[in-house]
Amino acid sequence: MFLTVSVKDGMPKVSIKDRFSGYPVLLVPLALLTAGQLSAKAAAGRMLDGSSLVSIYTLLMYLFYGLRALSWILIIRHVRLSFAYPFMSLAYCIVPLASALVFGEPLSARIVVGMLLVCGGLMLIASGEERR
Amino acid sequence: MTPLLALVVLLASISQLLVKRGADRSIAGPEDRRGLLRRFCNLPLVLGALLAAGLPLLYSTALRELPLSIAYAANGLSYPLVLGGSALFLGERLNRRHLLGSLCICCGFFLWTDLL
Repeated sequence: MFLTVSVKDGMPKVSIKDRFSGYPVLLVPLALLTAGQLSAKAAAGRMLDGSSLVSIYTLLMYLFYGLRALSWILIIRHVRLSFAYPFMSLAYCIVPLASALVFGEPLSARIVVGMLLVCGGLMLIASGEERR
Repeated sequence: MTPLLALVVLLASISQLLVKRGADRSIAGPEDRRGLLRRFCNLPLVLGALLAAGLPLLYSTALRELPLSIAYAANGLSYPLVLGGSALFLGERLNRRHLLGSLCICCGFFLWTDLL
């Protein structure tokens, strides 16, 4: 397990085990971000068919966003931001791929080149932060 | 890109700037419970947090009109907007890599969404 939850003085304490505090742990917020985006699209589908404005997918979207924020705060204490920030730019490749897989949305060569440019731009910005 | 999605990106960038402004204000002050409450209840921080909490719902509404694989590209635009805003309103300094990265993101966005 990446995360451990213990109770000290009646207060819950969440921590990351040292042996798992390496870079693979960054896959957790990345997966939660992707799940949040897919839930947002599923919630939009529910709005579109008029079944409900707030569906189970809306709640899932908020749950995934919340867990993503929490995991990010916990992980960033153990991983260098100069690596973590550009790593998260992978979401710009993973989310469109996931939406193609889950919702059957088309992916063109133009989109793939655009994705790579956005990822590259974010990595450049992150490297600029390191040099500040 | 729809007007609603453009609004979401703009509001997301504004919320980031508000949270940063509010967080800066919350640094100094008394450490007791009342002092802490007063420090973290400043207007920019509360406005930024409220905006950030409401935005997923607005984003989900915007997704009704667009495929996720296209709409997600717009999220990337918030980075150049936040960088520009932090230079304009917070007095932060930008370097060449920030500008080049922002240019790359804008080109990628226009190519991705077929606006180029």
